Amino acid sequence: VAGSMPRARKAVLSMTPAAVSRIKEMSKPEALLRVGVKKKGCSGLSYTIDQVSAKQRFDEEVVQDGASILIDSKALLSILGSEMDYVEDKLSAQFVFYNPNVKEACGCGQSFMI
Amino acid sequence: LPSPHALAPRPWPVLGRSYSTVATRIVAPNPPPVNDQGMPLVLLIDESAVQQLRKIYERDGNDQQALRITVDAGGCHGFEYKLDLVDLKSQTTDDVHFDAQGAKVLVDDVSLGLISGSRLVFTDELIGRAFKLVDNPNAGSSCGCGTSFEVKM
Repeated sequence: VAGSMPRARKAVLSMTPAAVSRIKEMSKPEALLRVGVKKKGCSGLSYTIDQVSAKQRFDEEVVQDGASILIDSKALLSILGSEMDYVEDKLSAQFVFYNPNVKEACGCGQSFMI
Repeated sequence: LPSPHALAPRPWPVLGRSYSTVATRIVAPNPPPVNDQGMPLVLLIDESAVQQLRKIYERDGNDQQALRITVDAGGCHGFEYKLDLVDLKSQTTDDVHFDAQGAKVLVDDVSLGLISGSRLVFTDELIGRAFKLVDNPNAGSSCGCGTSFEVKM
């Protein structure tokens, strides 16, 4: 019957293939990666990634192509709908976030304002 | 924006953060430029940056490369750092060539005036790995990511 199948909920955060493979590389059985935001930087907020031993009560878990990452509940609203990418060049390698809600962002892509 | 040439660099940096800075040597042919007080302009290169540059030389099988640091107008705070990996042969007479235990860094003299006393580090965190310039004694305020800064006047 149409409509009887639960529709997959749209993920809070999507990951590019580069981000998926980097997260898999970084994953350890005893430590989970958790994305958050903190008040820092010229545009108000800045992304952080931490290692935690367990999922916190209100954390959202995003699983995509075998890579799993937690989103801090306090960061959910600011991160919603973002795409996480991993960019490597000759000198650096880092996670960047493309956030559709951003009003103002910094040149480096690490600090933003909603 | 005022021309970078019009800004006088500060004499010496405040030391004492937990970075291990390795000695840098200024390589001929350029004599080190000096500021208004006659102090040489310096760049502190952290051990982590030396190690990473060596890794890059090994990865590319080419140690005739240098990290070029340029200060450009731009970013949210007026100026921003640009870091590039360049061929050592791109060195011009305006460049100061720093060598820290084989790790090579090129800075043009105008940019050096704005970053003198800063520390070049390679940060390795979960969010990413990158070269960064930190503790710039000439910077009044800077951006969260550390790429953009404003000069103290």
